[in-house]
Amino acid sequence: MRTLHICLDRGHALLHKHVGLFFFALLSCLIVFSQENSRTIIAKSNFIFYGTIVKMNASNIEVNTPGSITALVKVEKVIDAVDPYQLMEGKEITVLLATVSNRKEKVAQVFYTTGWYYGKTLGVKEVPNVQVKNLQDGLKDKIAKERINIHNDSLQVELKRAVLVIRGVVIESDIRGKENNSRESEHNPEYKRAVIQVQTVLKGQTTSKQVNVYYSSSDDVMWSNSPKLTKGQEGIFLLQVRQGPSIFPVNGYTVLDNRDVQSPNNLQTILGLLKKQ
Amino acid sequence: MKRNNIKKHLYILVIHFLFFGQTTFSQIRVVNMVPQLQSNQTANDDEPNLAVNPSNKLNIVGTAFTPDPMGGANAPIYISSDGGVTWALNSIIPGNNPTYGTGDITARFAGYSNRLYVGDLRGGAGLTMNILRVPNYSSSTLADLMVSRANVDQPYVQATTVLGGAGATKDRVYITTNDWNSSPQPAAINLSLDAFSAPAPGGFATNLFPNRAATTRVMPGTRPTIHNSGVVYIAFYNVTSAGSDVVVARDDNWGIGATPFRNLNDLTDGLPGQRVVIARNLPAFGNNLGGSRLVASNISVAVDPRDASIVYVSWADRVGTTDYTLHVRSSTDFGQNWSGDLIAITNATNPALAVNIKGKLGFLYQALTGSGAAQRWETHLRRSTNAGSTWDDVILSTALISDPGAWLGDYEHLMAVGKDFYGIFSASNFPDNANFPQGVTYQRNANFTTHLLLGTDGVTVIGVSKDPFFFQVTEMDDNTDFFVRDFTHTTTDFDPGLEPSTDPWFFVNSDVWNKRSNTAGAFNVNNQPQSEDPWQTTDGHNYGFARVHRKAAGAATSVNLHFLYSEFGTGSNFVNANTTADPTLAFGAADVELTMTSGYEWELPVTTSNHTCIAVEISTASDPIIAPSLLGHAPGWSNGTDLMVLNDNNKAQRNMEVYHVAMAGSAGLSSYAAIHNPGLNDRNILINWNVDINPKVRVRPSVQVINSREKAVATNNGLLLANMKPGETRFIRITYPIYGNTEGIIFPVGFGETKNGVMQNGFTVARDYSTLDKVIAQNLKYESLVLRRIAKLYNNSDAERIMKYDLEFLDKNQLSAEYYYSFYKKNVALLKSITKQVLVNAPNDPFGLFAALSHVDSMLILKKASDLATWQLSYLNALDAYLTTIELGKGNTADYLQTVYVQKDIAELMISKKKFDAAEKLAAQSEEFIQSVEERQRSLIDYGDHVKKVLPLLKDCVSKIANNTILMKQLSKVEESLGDARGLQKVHLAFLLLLRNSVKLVK
Repeated sequence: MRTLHICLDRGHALLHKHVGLFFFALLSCLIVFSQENSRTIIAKSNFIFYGTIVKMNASNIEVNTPGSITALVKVEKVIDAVDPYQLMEGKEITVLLATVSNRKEKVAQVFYTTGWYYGKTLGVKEVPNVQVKNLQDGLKDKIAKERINIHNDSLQVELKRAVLVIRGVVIESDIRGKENNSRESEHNPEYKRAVIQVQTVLKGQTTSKQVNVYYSSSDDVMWSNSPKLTKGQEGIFLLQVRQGPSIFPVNGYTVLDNRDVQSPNNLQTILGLLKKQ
Repeated sequence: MKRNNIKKHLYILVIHFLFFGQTTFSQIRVVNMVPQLQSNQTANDDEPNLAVNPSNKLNIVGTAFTPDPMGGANAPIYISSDGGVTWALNSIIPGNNPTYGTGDITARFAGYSNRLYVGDLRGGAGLTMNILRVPNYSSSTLADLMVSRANVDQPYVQATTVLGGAGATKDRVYITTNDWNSSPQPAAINLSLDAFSAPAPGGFATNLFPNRAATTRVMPGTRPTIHNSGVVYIAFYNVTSAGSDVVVARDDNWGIGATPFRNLNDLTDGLPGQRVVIARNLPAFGNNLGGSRLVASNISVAVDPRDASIVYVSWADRVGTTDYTLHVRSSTDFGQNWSGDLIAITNATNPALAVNIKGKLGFLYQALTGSGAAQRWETHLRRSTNAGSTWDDVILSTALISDPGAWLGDYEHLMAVGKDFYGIFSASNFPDNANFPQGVTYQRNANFTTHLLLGTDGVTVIGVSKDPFFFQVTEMDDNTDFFVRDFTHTTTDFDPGLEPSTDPWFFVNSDVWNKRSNTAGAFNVNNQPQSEDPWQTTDGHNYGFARVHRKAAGAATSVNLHFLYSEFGTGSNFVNANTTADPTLAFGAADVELTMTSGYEWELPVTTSNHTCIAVEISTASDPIIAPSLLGHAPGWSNGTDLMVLNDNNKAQRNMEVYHVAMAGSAGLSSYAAIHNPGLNDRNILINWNVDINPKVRVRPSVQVINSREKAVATNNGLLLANMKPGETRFIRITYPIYGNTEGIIFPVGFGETKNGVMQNGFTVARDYSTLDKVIAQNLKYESLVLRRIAKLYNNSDAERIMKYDLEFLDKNQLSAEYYYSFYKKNVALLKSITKQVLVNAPNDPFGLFAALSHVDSMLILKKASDLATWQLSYLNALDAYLTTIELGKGNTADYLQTVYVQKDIAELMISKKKFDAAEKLAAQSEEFIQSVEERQRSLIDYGDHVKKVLPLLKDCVSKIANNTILMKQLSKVEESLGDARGLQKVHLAFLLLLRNSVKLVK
C-alpha cells in the first residue's frame, strides 16, 4: 500500500503538468504494486490451486471456524503445493474464505491459501489477495519464479547480516573448546570449531588464508537446522558474529543459520545478490 | 498437616481387596496419531505431550515436534474430538520451524472451562517461551499470546478450574520452567490464578523458587502437579557440588502470595523444599542410553486426587557406573517424609506418573532391553492398586532401536481423568503387530503384512520414523460404568457421569431424593426429581429414590443401592437410613437409565429433626464405590478423605431445604443449618454463600452463628467458625426477606464449606413463593412434627394437644386467613408454655424462640397473615434446631466412627512418643474396628464392645501420663457409659480430646 500511495502522490503531481504522463506513471505504479503484492501473496501461500466452490457455508472438517465463512471447494488443479498435497486434485477440501464477496457456488477460481487443518481431509485458509481469479496460462511458471525470488530475498537478508562471505573448504572440524561452559542444558549448541581454507572472499575483508568458524554440533531440535561442518566440505560460507543466543555466547565467526552455508553451485546467485547490496 | 501415616497405604490396600474386590478389567487402545493425509511424513515427532479435557473426555490435544505440513507460519497441535480414535493437525500455535514446529511444548486443559493452555518454546525463536491460551482447541482461531519471555527452558503446564467457592470458575495455570535470566539458574513457576479471560498477560507472573546455598543450578526441567483442593507440588533436580538432589516443594493455597511454594521445608536444613534424595549421580549431558540422550527432564510428580497428602515422585539417576535407573517413591504426609523405592527400573527413561480417581498409580516409561543388534526400546505402563506395593506391567510398544533411530525425546506424558489413564509416547512407526502387544490403529497408510509404510497415494513406500502414539487405558468400560447424576440442570445439561463432576452445587439437583409415599413422583420440565422432606416415623415411612444411569448399554446387571442420611447442614456424618436389605435395580442389556419404581423404606426417629440430607451409594460387582463409604463420614477434603460425592460417580447427595413462604409478605424467614467438624483435629470452618444460583435472583441473607462463644468473623462473603473441635456442631441462622408476588418462584441461597476458595460440601435453603393456604398447611403439618418431637422427648402433654389441634384443623381444610388467625391465637398461649419448658436449661434463649413468638403475637394483632405464617415458620425452625442442639449435646451416634478415627489418630501420636506400650495395640484395634465398619461387618451396636475392649489399653496409656487424675475420672465415665451408645460417644470423644492434649505435652 505504501508503494501505491507514494506512486499516487507522484502521479497526482504530474497530473497538473501532463495528463498522459500521469496515466503512464499510474499504470507503471500499479504494475509494480501488482508484482510486489503477488510475491507477498505467494510467500504467504503454500497451497495454490484452481477450484470450484461446491457449497458455500459448508465444511468437511470437524474444526470450528467461529466468525468465518467456509466453503466446500473441489480442487480442480493444484498449481503450487508441497509434497504430497499435489495429490489433492479431484478432492473436496474446506476453504476458510478471506472474503465472501463475489463467491458463487459452481464457479471456479484460483485460490491462494495456506494449510491449517490436516486430517482425513484438508482445511486451508485463504490469503487475502486481489490476484486474478481466472486460471491463466503460465501461472504455474510465474509462481515458480516467484518462489526463487522469495528464496533469494531470504538469502539476501542473511548476506547483508554476514560480516564475511567466503568461498572455501573445511580443512578441519569437530574441534571442541571451552565455549560450552556457560550453561548445562539439553539446548546447549555444543559449539565446535572448524577451520576453513579461504579460496575467495566475496564480501568483507580478511587477510588470513584460514578462518576459524564455530558451528553447533548439537542434535537438539533447536539446532537441527543449524549447519554441521565436516572436513572436506566445500561451500560458500556466510560468516556471522554475535549470532547465537545470548545465554550461549561465543566469540568469533559462526554459521548457525541454515542459510549460512551455501552450495558452491549458488555462486552466481550470491554474486548477483551481493551486487544489489 | 497430617503426620506421617505409615499404615495408610496398607489400609487402602486392605479396604480395596477385602471390601471392594480387585477390579481387573481394563481395555487399552493404542493409536498412531499421524493423520492419513500426512502419510508421506518422515519427521521424528518426538517429545510428546497430551491434554484430555476433564469435562469432555472426547476432546483431546496432543503435541510433539511436528511442523506444519505445508511449512506455514503456525505450528500444529494434534486434535481429536472422538476420544483419541481419530486425529488431525490444527495449526494454531504461533511460530513454526519447518523441521520441528515448536521447541519444547506442553499443553493442558483446565478443569471444566474447556480452555486449553499451552507453554512452548516458539518455533524458530530459540529459548523464547510463549504462554498461550486457546479458547477452543478445535477452532481455526490462532492461540492467544499471554506471555513471551526470553531465556527460558522446558515450559511444563498443569491447569485446573476452581470448583465453587470464592475461586469459582477461575482457571489456575502453573507453568514450570527453568529460568536462565537468573543465576544460578532457579526453578521458576509462571502461574496465573485467573487465566480464563483476562487480557494478556492473563494474570501470569513469574515466581523464582529460592536456590539452596550450595546450589550450583536447578536442572531443566521442573514439573508441577495440582490437587483440586489448592495444594500444588513442584519437583526438580537441585545440583550441588556433591551431586544432584531431588527436591519437592509445595504450596498449600494455590500459590497465592508473593512467595509461593514455601509450605514445605526440608527436615534437615529447614530450607524451602524437601529433598527426597540427596547427592545422586546424574549423568552429564552428552551421555546417552541406547542412543537416546540423558537429560534432567526425566522427573515426574503426581498427587492422589483423593487425598492431597499422598504424592509420588519419579526421577532418573545413575546407581552403578553405566546404568540409568528410574525410581518411584511416595509420601503420605504432604511430601515431608518419603518411602524407599516403590519400584526401580534399570536402563529406562522418560518417567511419567499419574494417579486416577480411585488412587490407582500409573507409571509410564521407556526401557532399553536386549543387546547389540537386538536392542529394543519398549514403552511400559505399570499400574499399582496398592500404592506401589505391587505392579502390573503392560508393554505398549517395542521396536528395534535401529529402526527409526534411537532418540525418543526428553519426555512423554501420562495423565488420569476419572478412572481412566491417558498417555502419549513417541516410538518407531515400523508397521508390525508384534511391535504393539496391545494392538494398534494407524491412520496413516501402512501395510502390516508387508511391514511397509505407504505414502498418501497408498503406493509409494515411505521410510520408517518415529511417530506420536496416543493410548487410553479404560479401567472401566462405559457399559459397566453405572452412575447417579450429581446434577441435572436441564434436559440437555446434566452430569454425564464425570469424575469429578463439575457442578460444585452437587447437593441441589442430584438424582437421589426422598418421598413420603412409595411413589417416585414425576420429573419436572427440567427432568429433575422432586424431593420431599422426610417425616418422623410416627407420621409415616420415608422412601428413598434414585435414578441410575449407565454410560452405555451392556450386559444385564443388578445395581445395589444403599441409602444414608445426615443432619441438614454441612460436615455431619452420614448414617445408614435403615438396616433392611438394600434395594436393587435390574438393568436389562439395553437399559442405560432406570428409576426406582419402589422406594427404599426408611424411618426417621421421632427424636430427630426432619431437616436432613439424603445420599445414595450404588454398586455392582464390577463397579464398586470408591472407598471410603459415606457411612460415618462427611464429604470434604478437610475430613482427611476425598470429596467422595464429586469424585465418585457412584455416590450422590441431596442437601436442600425448601420452604413455602406466602406471597406479599415482608418478614424475613429464618432457618437453621448444622455445621459439624467431621475431622480429627480442631479446624476453622469457612462458610461462603452464593445467591447467584439463579442469577436473576438477588437476595442478601444475614447469617449468624448460634450459641457460639467465638465471634463470627465475616471474611469476604463468608463466615468463619473458628477452632471447631472434632465432632463439634454449631448452628447458623440464615434469614432473608424476599419480595414479589409470583407463585412458584424459588429463591435459593447456596451455602458452601470452602477451603482455599474451593467448595467441599454445602447445602441450599430455598423459599418457594406460594399461596397462603399452601403455606398454612405446610406450617401446621410442620408444627405437628416438631411438637411430636417435644412430646416424645419430654413427655410433654401440651405439645401433644397442639399437635392434635393442628392435625384436626388441617383435616377441616379451612385454610383461609381468618380461620388461621382464630385458630392460631389459641395455639400461641400453649406454645409459650412449651417454649418455657424446653428452655429450662437455656434461659438465654440462644435461638430466639420467644422473640419469634412475640412477632407471631404482633402479626395476629395486625392481622397480617403472610407475615404471621413466616414468623410461625421461623419460630418452628428455631425450635426444631434448638431441640437438635439439645439432643446432640447428649452425644451423637453418627459420630461414633469419627470418634474411633480420633482414637486411632491419638494412638499413632502416642506411638511417635515411644512411651506408651499399649499404643501400638490401641492403634491396631482401632483400625480393625474402623475397617470392619467400613466393610459393613460391624455397626453402631458393636461400638460399646469395641470401647470395652480397648479400655484396658486406654487405661495403660493414661497411666503413663503424669497428673492424670482428670483423665482417669473421664475414663471412668467412659466405662460407666458402655451400655448407652450415644452417651458413650459423648464421653469417649471428650476423653480422647483431653488425652490428646496431655499426650502432646509428653516429651
